[in-house]
Amino acid sequence: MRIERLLVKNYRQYKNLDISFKNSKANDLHIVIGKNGMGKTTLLNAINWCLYDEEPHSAESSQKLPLLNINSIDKSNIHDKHEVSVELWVSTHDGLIVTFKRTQLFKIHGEKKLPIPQSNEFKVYRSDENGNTNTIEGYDAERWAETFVPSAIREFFFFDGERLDNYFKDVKSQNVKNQIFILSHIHILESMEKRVEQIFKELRRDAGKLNPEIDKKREQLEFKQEKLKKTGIKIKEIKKQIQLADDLIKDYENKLKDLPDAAKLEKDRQSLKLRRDKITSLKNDKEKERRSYLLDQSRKVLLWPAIKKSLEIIDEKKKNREIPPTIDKGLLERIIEKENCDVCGRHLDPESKNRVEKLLDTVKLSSKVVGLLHSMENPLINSQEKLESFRSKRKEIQKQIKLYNDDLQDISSEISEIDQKLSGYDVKNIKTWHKDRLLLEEQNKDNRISLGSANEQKKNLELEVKQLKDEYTKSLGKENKAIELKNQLEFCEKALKSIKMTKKDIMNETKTKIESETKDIFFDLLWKTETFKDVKIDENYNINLIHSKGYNCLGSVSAAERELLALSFTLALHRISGFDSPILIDTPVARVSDDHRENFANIFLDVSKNKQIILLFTPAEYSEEISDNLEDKINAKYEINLLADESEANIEVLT
Amino acid sequence: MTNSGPEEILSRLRENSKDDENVSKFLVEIFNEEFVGIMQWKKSYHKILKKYSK
Repeated sequence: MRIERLLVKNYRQYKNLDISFKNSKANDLHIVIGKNGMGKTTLLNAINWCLYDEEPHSAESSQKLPLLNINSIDKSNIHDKHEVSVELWVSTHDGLIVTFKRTQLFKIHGEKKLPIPQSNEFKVYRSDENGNTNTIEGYDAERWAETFVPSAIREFFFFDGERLDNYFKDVKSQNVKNQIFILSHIHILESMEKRVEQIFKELRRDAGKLNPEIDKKREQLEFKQEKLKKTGIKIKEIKKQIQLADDLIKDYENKLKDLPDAAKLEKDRQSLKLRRDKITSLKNDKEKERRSYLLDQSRKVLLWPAIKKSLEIIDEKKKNREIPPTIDKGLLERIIEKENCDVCGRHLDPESKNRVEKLLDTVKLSSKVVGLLHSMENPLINSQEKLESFRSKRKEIQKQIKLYNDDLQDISSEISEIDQKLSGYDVKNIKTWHKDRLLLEEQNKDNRISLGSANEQKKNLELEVKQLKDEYTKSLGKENKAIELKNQLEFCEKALKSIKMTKKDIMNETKTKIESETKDIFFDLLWKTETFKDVKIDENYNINLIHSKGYNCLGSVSAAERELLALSFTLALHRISGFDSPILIDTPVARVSDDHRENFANIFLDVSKNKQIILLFTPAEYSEEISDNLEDKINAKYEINLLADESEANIEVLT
Repeated sequence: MTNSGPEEILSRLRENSKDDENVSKFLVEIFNEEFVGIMQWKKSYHKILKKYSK
């Protein structure tokens, strides 16, 4: 489809405009040039107003002005009626003409000549092969406008060039996701999912009414399911932040590497960081070994003073010749008690008894004690030896840990030294990049810890939900009246699962298609060959432009490259949606530097081989870089001029 | 509104519920309900809009 003609009557500054967009060259490209405030954006709004009864690009100041041309109001008498109309002639692929026409009637009211809106009418005139014209009105006419460009995605067909530059900055992933939703009809699946979920919840509540136990289980289950859902969202959010920070870190690292003086420092810093990570891991292993060894040996360590004291006692007894025993103390005591010798059987006379008593005084330990001490000696010596090896092993581990700590301290000092040097550079950007990178590294460290704990939490919640579901189904099974509800619930669950799977499949397919088309178009139009290697739409619907070194560099590319990516995304949406309608861009290269304007001129030429393009330039924008490349190839060039009193604008065909 | 459109969704719904014929039939029927419903509410909203915007 292409726009053949635009007729505007009494619409804002256009009193009577009739502009044709004939296609007689290889490039279906049309240029309109006009200074700011002369009426370029009004043309964009006129098309939007005609098709959808809206003026999305109006500035607040112009919204206060009446839609009806001011000159027409001034020249009116009270109660005069005026008609504002915009007519858009569109040719279809089979060569037929469809005309969209919106008319708004105004009645001039009171001394102040206020234009009061009356009826608003939208009609579509369709010519057939025989030259007959059918008129379509009302809802059917609105549907015809939707077949030309659907209102939901019109901003990808008629748009402001400034928006291209800010596209990924302002609206980010949500917009990409929305477009994918619109293109994929996901809203139908969403609505189905919502309604089946609603029924599912109602059925559960009904089941709960049969038995308080079932209701209690339902409440617990729903509570945990909600918690699980929130944890899933949290995990997605953390992953997104980690990815974003990783990309920025890589971006900063790349920028710092590219600086001649900072390059070596940056390389050293990287290798020190790697060494630090390796030593930290070795140190952690050693500390773990120490902990487990200490735990294992703790009982023996606690007994160390007792073992030492016991061995000292044994040693002393040995020195005193008490060990091993030479005289049996028990035997002497028995002889004295019985006054009879157990060895020779003789009765003890007082003198012999006295001698035995003196001998007994010299024996301090009983044979049993001496025997015990004697038998303890070897095991105690063994333990002592082991403890001595424990001390040496502990010392060895501690020494190793100390060495690691010393190494880490050295590395930290070296990194700090490099950081100091990098911060000391007399380049403001380097300082900022460096500072930001450190902050991001810290932030990612925290985020990775949070991610680990959220994953753990999710795993536990999944288990709990599964268990509660089983318990809930079991309690339902016990209740006869609940069997029918149980069947319905199971049915709903299956249906919901299929809807969710379908939603995921369709979203992924559309995302992949857009990603692949955007990539094809972008690399086809791009003037650089080595800098970038891929275009990706991640799981959070962020568009990523992958640098040849592997990181997402969208945040740091030039306005021209960013605008090209947005344009490629827009053209990809055109292809995927199947609406091969024209594209109209207001101020297409306003943000693009002179260096890249020539590239953009070539891009417009390339795209206009297969699609009608209407570009609305300011004279400054239509610079040499653009005009030298386009002038011979464009179908027509138009200029917007103001009348002498600046109240009306008209368009003149220049070439 | 991809090139393949709602047919693609229907075929996916059938594919993802092929283990249970009844679930499959149920999904196709509610999908059509939604689809017709969108047309109907749009039509009736337009009528109501016209009635009050005169």
